[in-house]
Amino acid sequence: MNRFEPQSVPLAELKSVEPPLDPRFKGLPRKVLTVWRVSTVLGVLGSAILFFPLELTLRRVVARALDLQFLGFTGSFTLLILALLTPYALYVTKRSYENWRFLVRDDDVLIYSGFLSRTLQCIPRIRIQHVDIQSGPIDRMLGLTQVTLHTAGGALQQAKIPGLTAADAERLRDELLIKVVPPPAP
Amino acid sequence: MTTPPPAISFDVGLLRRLHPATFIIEFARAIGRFLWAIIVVFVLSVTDGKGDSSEIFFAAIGILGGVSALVRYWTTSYAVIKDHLVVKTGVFQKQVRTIPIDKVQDIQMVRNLLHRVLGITDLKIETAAGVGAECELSAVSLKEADRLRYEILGSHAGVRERSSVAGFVGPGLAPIPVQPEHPQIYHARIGDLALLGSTENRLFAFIAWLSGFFALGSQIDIGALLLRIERSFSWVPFLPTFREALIAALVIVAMFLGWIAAIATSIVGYWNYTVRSSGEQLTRQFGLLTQHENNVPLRRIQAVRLRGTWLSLLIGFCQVQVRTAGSAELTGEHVMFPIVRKREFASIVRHLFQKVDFDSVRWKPISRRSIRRGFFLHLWPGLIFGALFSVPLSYQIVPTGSHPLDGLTFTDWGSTFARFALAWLVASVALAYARFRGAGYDQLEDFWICRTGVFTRSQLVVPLAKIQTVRVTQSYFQRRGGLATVVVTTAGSFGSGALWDLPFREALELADWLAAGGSRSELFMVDGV
Repeated sequence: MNRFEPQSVPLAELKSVEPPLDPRFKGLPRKVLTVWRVSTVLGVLGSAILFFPLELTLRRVVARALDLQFLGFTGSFTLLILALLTPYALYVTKRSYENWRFLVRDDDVLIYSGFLSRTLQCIPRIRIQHVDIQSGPIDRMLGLTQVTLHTAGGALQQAKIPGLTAADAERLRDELLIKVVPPPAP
Repeated sequence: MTTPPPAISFDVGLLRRLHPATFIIEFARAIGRFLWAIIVVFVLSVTDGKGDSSEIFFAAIGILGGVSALVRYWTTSYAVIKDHLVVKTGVFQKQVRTIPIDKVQDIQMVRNLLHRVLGITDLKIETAAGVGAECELSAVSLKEADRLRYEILGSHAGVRERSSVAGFVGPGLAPIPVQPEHPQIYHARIGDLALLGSTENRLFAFIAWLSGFFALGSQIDIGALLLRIERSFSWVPFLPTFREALIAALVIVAMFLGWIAAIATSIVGYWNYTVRSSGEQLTRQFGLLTQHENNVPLRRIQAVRLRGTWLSLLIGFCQVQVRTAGSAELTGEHVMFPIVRKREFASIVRHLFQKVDFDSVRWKPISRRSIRRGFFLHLWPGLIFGALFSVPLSYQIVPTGSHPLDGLTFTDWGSTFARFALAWLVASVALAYARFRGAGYDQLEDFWICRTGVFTRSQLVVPLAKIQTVRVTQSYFQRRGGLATVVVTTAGSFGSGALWDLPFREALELADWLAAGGSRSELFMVDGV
C-alpha cells in the first residue's frame, strides 16, 4: 500500500492534532530518534565553545571581586552545565520526536511538530516550487533521507519530512510534484 | 517525445557596459562602507598625533575602493536578449545570470544626490526569489534605464518625456516610442506629508516621556545619575529648582525637535509622491534628495496593508502598503500611498484587487480568553522592568561629606515598586482589552482580511490566490487556554500576517479554508506567485 496515498479529511474533523493523535497522521520511524539524539548530543557538546570562554571570564571577574581562592578546576563550570543540559535536551528531543506527525491530504501536506509550542503547517501542493531530497552522514549510516518542500513563501517557510527510506522519499516527491494540477496557460 | 526548450544562446558582442560614472558611484560606496573606520582613525590621528600610520590606512582604503570600483565597472555587462535579461559579473568566478523577463516582479530606480549630479541611476530588477534585488545595475544612464524598463515592461513602463527626445539610443538598438503618460491616481501634498510625520508614534513617546518626567518631579531627585551630574556641576551658580526647570525645558525642546525631525523626514523622504496607474501597473515616484521611481505590476501584488498609528486613525488618516514578492525592503512591504483618508482604503483595495467586496466585511472577534493571556503578556515584562527601574528611583540624598556619593542612601524600593506595579496592573488590563478589541478577521469570497494592533493598527487584505503556506501555532500557555495563532504567508512575507488567540477549533477551520483557497488553481500564476 502506498504510504502517501492522499487523504480527504477536513482539519476540524481530525480527532485531535495533539497527542493522542488522529490515527491518520503518520509519525516518524524509530531510527529518526537515534539521528536526532546523536545530533542533540553533538549540539550540546558544541555549545561548550560558547560556555567555556564565558566560564573563563566569570572566573576572572568573580574570583577577583570575591577574593576566592578555590573554584574547582578550570572547565568544571562548563562540565556542570553540560551535565545538566544533556538530559534536558534529550528529553526535549524525545518529546519532539513523539509529537512529530505528518499527513498528505488531497490538496495539501500537513506537518505537526514542536515541544512546548506546537505548529501545524499546511502547505498547498500547488504552491510547492521544488522538492529536495537530502541525507546527512548519520542519516546515510541508517539508510534514511529527508525531503524538504520549498514554497515561494521564503526560506523560513520550508517544510521538512525526515526519516524516509530512499524509495519512500522518491515516491513522496513524485506524489507531490507530478500529480499537481497543471496550471492553466497564461 | 518532447522537444527540448530552445537554448538561450547569445552573442557576447550584444552585452553592454555600465555607465562610466559607475566608477565614481562605486568608489563613493566603497568609501562609505569604511566610513566608521575612517572617522575612528581620523580622530585617533588628530588626538594622538600618529599621522604616519593613519595616512597609510587612508591610502589603503582609497586604493581598495578604487580597485573594487574599477573591477565592478570592467566586469559587469548586461543585455536583454530573446525575452531574457542577461547579466555577466565576476572576476575569478564568472557568473552569467539569466532572468526571464516575465518573471520580473518589479523594477526600481534609485538616485541619490551623486547620481543626480552625474545624470545616472541605480536600477534594481527583482524576481520572486530570495531577499532583495536579484540584479542591480549600478549605474546606468537615465536613457539606458528607460530603454531597459521599456524592453522589460513594455508600454506599462510609463517612460516619460526625457527619453522620447533620445529616439535613438545606441548602435543596433530600437528607439523607444513616445508613450502616453499614464493617469495620475495619487499625489501627496506637503500638508499631507507634514500630517504623516506629526502623527508618527514619536508623539506618543513624547507624551509618555513628558508625563513620566512630571511624575518624577515629585521625587525631586531623579536618582544617583542626576546626583552625580549635579555634584560635578556644583560650581554652576544655579538654584536647584532652576536646574530642574532647565532639565525639563531641555527634555521638552529635545522632544519637540524630534517631532519636527519626524515631520521633516517624511516631507523630504516622500517629497512630491506621485502614483500613476496604467491599469495593469502602478508607478510611484518620490523623494527630494534621493529620488525613487518604481514599477509594481498589479498582478504581482501579494497583499495590501492599511497601517496607521492610533493618532492618525483618530483624525481619520492611514497609510497603505503593498507586499510584492522579493521587494527590496526586508519586510517585503512597500509604502504605496503614504497618507490617505481612512475611508478611501476600500476604494484603493478595489483598485488593486478588482473583485474585493469591502462593504460586506463583518469583523469576527478573536477569543475573549485572549484578554487574560494579553494581560499576563503585558504584565510580566512590565513588572520586571519596573522592579529594575525602581532601584535608581529609590535613592535618597542626604548631603553629608564632600564626595559626590557620600549622602546617597538606598531607602524605599518597596513603595516605589508598589506604586509602579499598581499603575502597571491597570495599564495591563487596558492594553489587554485594547488588544482583544483591535483584533479580528473576516472571510470574503476570494480574500482573507485581518486586523491587529493597539498603538499601531493594521488591516491586512490577502487574496486567497496568493497564499503560499498556512500555519497554526500554539505556545505552551495558548495550549492551556485552548487558543491558537494562525499565520498566513505569501511570497515576500517575512513572518507578518498573523492573527493570534483564536479558539483552537476555529483556528483549524480557518486554516483549512485558507489552505483550500491557496490550492485553488483558477487564479494561479505560472510561476506560483
